[in-house]
Amino acid sequence: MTKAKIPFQNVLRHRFSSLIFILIFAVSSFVLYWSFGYANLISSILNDSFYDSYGDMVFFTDYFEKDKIQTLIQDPSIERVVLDREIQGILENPEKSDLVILSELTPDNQNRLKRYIRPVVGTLPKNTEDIVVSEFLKEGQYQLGETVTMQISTPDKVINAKKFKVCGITKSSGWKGLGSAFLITEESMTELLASNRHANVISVFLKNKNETREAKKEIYQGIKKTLEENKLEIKDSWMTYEQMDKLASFSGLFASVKSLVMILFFPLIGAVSAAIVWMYAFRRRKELWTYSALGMTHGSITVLMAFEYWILTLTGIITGLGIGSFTSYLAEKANIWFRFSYTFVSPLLTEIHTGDIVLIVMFLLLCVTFWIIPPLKRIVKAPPFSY
Amino acid sequence: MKKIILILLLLWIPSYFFALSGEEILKKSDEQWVPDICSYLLTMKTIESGGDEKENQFKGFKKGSVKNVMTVVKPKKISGSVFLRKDDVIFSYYTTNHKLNKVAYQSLFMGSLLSYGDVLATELSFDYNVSKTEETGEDYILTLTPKQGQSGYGKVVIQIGKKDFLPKKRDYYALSGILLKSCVFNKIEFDGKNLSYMEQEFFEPLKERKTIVSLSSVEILKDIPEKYYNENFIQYLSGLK
Repeated sequence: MTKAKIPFQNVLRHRFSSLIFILIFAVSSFVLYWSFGYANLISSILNDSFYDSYGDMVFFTDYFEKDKIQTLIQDPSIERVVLDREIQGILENPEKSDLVILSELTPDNQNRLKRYIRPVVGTLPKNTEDIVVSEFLKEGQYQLGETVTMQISTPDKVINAKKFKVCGITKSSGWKGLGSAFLITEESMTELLASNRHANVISVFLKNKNETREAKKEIYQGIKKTLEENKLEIKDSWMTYEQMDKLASFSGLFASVKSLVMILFFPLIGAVSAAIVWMYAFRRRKELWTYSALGMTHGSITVLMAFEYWILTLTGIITGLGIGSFTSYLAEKANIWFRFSYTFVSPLLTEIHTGDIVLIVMFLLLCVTFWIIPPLKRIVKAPPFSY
Repeated sequence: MKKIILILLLLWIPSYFFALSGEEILKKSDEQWVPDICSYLLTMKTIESGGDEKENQFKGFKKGSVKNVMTVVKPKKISGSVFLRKDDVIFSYYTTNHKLNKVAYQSLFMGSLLSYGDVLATELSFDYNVSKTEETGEDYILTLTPKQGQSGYGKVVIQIGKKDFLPKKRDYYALSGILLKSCVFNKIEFDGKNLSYMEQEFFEPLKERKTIVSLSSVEILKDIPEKYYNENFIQYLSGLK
């Protein structure tokens, strides 16, 4: 029990060296927190958002009657066919007119896309007057609370317009118009189109998400043929795996961020902590020899010292993770002011899982153990007054 | 007394039977000022709220109600780009990307207050039905709604002079009833029977900017080759600037 107290007492007694050690590990765990969190976020967007937005395949078409399409698209492999409305319109405020893509938020797609659609300011649309604008192409053009007018062409080819109030600003909304879609409620869309019978996007979800590419392609070609036979103009269409293939290298890069950071950090943190341990433990060699003179074995002294550094490492990790979590919270609130490259649009957010926390803690403890034991052993083994 | 009644009846009966319907007024108005087959120079000047001006100019060829093609003369950087209305479809071809695209009727036309439909669909009697006809002392006020299957505004209210059947003002409304824009005809001049110059001013209630459209160098033609209205010929038309 007395032995167990020693490391804690030493942590307090050698305040300066303790503080430096804590600081190193606080910074390390903070950097790991953000690297892991942001890499997770981007990876999940890249891997899942296409599927969550449009299922296994999607067809962007002219307006069609929903009932007719539901009857036409029948296949035992299909779990469900989702018919949405995603239209082009002219958004106007007194200063500007812009061509924008307008999507409806239905309870179904909102449930699928809630991970991605996170306004950086304001809320998602709740009332028929509400609209969420995207900052992607229209940076700083529209403000929260501002009234804008949306002008579109109905399925009957008649021009319609509706006034909206900006209720939220988003920087990323999944692939459902990532970066460019403006979002309104289902009721607003019905009001704008003067119809709830029509839609123009067909998303197909298969029963087996892991169906072979050949099988998916066959279903895709079958649906395409059916639509063409029924004289429905297909403006664009694709299968989700085709989009994933295009993003494969990008996705792979983000997936490997965790490994890269750990490979880089292992020697970096190790070298710094080993140097500190060497320097401070060397200065405390009289204390170590006293333990030895009191009958403690070299192994016990090494464990005693290592325990002290583990305490410091854990304190640093907790501090770093705490700061990481707090800054992540602040960043989410402050995202409206941040500007990033438009090559890949995403708000600055983190997505941290319990596994990541465990991995960060284990990695840093392993790192400190690996790098401090050799200098400690060397000091302990050195004969007294050898200098 | 009988004679007076008889005279009044004689005066009233023809006016009752020969009064023009709203459709006829609109058709007559279109025929009065819009030439059937012609070439023209269209100039569009957009004046921003700060006073900045932007001018676009087009050389156009109109044939009947549903064939109209224009090539850009100004600005120079997109000179030769083509806009074509053929039946119900509007095409655009820009020399910057050399791509032929279908364009929506309501899409904004080159940053002006006008839509492609405003520019390329000049004869309202072809695209709209008259749903209401009213009269004031000097004018007919017609309320137009788009014909089934035709692209157009939810409602257009047009003011036409009773004497000359020339349009004076148009108000364009969305289906929801929101006033989108208005247009006033500043000048309509004729050289004999044929239109020689026309000037329209478009403005929106929402914006402090306006677009002045003028039609000049109108040349009445007997015919225009059909290939002018063939979208596959559009890149060759691009040389007609």
